[in-house]
Amino acid sequence: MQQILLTAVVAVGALFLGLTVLIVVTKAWREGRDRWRAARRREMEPRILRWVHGDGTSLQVALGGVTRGERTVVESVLLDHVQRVRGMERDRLARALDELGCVERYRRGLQSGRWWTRAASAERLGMAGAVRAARDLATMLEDPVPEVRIRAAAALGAMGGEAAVRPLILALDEPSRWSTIRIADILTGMGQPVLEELVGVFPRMTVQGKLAAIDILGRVRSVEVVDWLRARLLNDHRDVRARACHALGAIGDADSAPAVAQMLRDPEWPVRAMSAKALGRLRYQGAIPGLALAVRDPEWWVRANAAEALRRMGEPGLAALETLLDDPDNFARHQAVLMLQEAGVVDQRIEALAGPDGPERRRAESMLAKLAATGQVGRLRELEVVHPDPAVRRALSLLRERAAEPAGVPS
Amino acid sequence: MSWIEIATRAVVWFNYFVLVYFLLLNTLYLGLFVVSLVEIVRFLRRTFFSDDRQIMQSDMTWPISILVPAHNEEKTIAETVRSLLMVNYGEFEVIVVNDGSGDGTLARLVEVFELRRIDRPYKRSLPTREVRGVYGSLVHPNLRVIDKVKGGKSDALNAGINLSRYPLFCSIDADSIIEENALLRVVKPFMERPQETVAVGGIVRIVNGCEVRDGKVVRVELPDRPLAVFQVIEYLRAFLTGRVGWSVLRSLLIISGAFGVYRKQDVIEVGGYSIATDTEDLELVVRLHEHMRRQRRRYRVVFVPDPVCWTEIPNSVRVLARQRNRWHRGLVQTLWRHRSMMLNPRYGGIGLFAFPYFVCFEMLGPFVETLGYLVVLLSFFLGVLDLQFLLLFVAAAGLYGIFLSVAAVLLEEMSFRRYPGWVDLTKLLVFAVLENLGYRQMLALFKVRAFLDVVRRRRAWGRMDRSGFGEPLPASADR
Amino acid sequence: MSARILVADDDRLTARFLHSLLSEKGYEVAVADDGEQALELVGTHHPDLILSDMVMPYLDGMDLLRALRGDVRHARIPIILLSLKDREEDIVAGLEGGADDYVVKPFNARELLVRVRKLLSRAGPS
Repeated sequence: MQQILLTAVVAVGALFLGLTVLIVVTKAWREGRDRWRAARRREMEPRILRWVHGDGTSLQVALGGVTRGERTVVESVLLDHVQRVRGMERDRLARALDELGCVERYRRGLQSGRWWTRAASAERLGMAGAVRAARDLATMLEDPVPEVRIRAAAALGAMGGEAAVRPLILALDEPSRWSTIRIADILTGMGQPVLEELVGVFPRMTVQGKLAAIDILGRVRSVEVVDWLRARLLNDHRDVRARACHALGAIGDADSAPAVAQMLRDPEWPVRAMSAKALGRLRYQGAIPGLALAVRDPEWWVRANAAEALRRMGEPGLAALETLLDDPDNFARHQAVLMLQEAGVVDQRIEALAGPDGPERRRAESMLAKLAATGQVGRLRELEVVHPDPAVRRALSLLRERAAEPAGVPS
Repeated sequence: MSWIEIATRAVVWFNYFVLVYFLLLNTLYLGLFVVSLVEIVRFLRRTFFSDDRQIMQSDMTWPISILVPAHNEEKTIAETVRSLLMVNYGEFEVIVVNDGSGDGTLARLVEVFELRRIDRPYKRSLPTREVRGVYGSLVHPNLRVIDKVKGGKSDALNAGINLSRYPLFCSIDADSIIEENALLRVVKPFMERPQETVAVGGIVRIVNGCEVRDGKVVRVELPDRPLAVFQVIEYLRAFLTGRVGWSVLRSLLIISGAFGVYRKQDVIEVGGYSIATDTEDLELVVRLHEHMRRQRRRYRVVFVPDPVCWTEIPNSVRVLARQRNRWHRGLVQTLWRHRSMMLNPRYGGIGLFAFPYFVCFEMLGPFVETLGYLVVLLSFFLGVLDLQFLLLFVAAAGLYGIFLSVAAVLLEEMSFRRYPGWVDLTKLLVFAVLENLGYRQMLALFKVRAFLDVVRRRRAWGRMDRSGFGEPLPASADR
Repeated sequence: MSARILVADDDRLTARFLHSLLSEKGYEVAVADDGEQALELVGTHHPDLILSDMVMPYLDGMDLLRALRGDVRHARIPIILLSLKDREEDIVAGLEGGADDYVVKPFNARELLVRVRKLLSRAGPS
């Protein structure tokens, strides 16, 4: 018994020594290798870049041959820079990668059993702009590992073109939400060419895919799809309607505003909330009465978005908010005060208190009296103490006293 | 049998018990280490492909509310808030909660950020002590400051949660520094599985000895003082080999209070932070586990080793003792509060493994250890024990422990390599060895004391009074 | 006398690329790692044109713009902003802030050279 335990102890001791040696050796090796690589890079990078800016045909010739050890260094220089430029210089960098045999290596890497090799290969193919690998990459969109799928999608996105768009859109029906988001981002980045395809594939997508598609259409901001999006406002699914509102707001086409304003009366609250938000972005003044009603909505998000939308509409919207200050609905009053504060209107009116007696001052007093009545008087109290103008401070004190009097007593 | 014989027998049995205890403990650590090793390798491969920019620019990334509870932080609060406002993230807000500071914390904030009172209505989902005012800034529209009556860190965080308007919140200590891309990385698990992820913790590293410029850690170096270096090793072990492992086993019970991101809705559902214990972060996570399991919901609490929060650690034994005392008291209080989870299959892996582990090894362990050392040494000198056994004991307790500390250093070297120099590496290895020859024993003593503290004050379960969120004064139990 | 260009970018690779590109064409190039350093170099090197990234530590592109436009000595130096940010709002903000041109990364090197040449010829001999 003791013997076994003793051998175990010795084994652990040996393991411990072995570990230490392992750490030291790997560190030394890694540092040596990194130092060598950095030195080679310092020497070669300027030469490589000079070739890129020039018009020589072959990088290898220009460098006078590339040894096997140097190949990694050259490859990383090329990969680093190929992502940072566009146009002719990028093509040259891509061509150099091909000449070095890297592109073929990446294509082979797509078949690797190890997922990180597949993912790295996909990513690099994208960087190298290897259009001939587009089909291979499209197959990678169905790889079991999500990381590989995302890299393949990014690569296709970087390459662009028809061969890339289709598979990407089909991939929007991804089970993993994060992948869907990433693919949506990639498609958005591809711009116009995506729109027609999206609209075409739309009916066959899952709900999640449809939502992603609508988001993309909103973010690409093309006026072409406005009519189509308007039709989505009548879709059965509430999330589709809501996202359509949001997308129309993002695109900003004023003609779509009346249709969006109709959605303020939708039975589902996410739709009402998104409609309010979109109307704020569209600055559609015809919706002001509807929004003023929406500020009394039982759902918090709808109220908040409606109030915010009114604020964004400028003068007429702010005027509508002022009328809500003595609204019987509690929440409406709260939101009105908040928005007026954030728009700076409250401070403006307070300044008017010190002005000459006249319609403007009376309007200010009336509005501030209503404000005081809501009970949200933090700012008033603050300025009552710290405002530099004594006339204003006095006026604010007077206001507070009046507000404290029971209703009905003449001021 | 005579008295002496019985006593000797008992002592011998106890010695064997201690030996087995150490073997078991260290083997469990070994198991955790292996799990962590595999996971870190996997993690490194995945994050070789950096998603940071995409996450930051994506409209779909969830916005975060950063909560900063502050008490008497006049000197540093402006810098902290400034560096937080510049953090690398898409949409976020910073909410500073001035928890009844006696100094000029609020005044300083008002001055530096041009704050003014705003009357924003918000839902008070969680009860807190009185909020005196809410401040906002036109210059920094995503900064809000809550001024409230002193209520302690939990209370401050709850007030922050009430005001926050985003689905995620991040609790940060006022004197910690989060790294540039840390938020982007810590939010990734939420983006990957938005419905399941409830809380995510990042790694806490030690800033003592590092060079800090303009609120950023510019150079990473090991601290000079031995006590600090011991803590560096301890943190490496606890985070890289401990929490990663627990996270993989879906039994992560602790997310550091210095850096954790939570889904607000779930935290509100369980009632927010509690003032009943000394370590509100631990207690919250355990409560989240309990709630989720009881509801049979699919959920996960994840630890991500990549995003870093730099924090300062105690430099003197006295302050360290107080800190560990508080931590252990909190642990005991939390375990007691949720004792229904112990060995309860209803709580799955947590009830059957993590909880018992914490009770037997983390909570009661220090007793066994401290007593164990004394008894074994005594036994040897009294001739009850032979040399072989003593050597075995040293191996099980000492060598094995050293092995695991060195393994943690190896893991660090393989993965994140924050301490790149050779000098640092040597220092780490040396201290990894020394850690098991005094430092750990000292910590065990602190924990024993803490346990007794809790038991003696059993009647007054509440937290001990704290001045600020720093270390507690040795005051009597309060509140 | 060749024109002097200051490149301000915290991304070393882009900086190296631009340095190489512009030196090839005969310009004298200085590189700054961040906004603060850029400001210093403007004072000591007196560049004829500045290529600046928008997002940099310590002093970002917009702050640098403000600092330069506010200083009467440097208010006329042509500045091209170079940035990953391709949102309309950022581009407009940059141009309204006083930049003479805005190029989105990844950029087209030949195009950039043409823009540099045009701005330099417009500004006239320094």
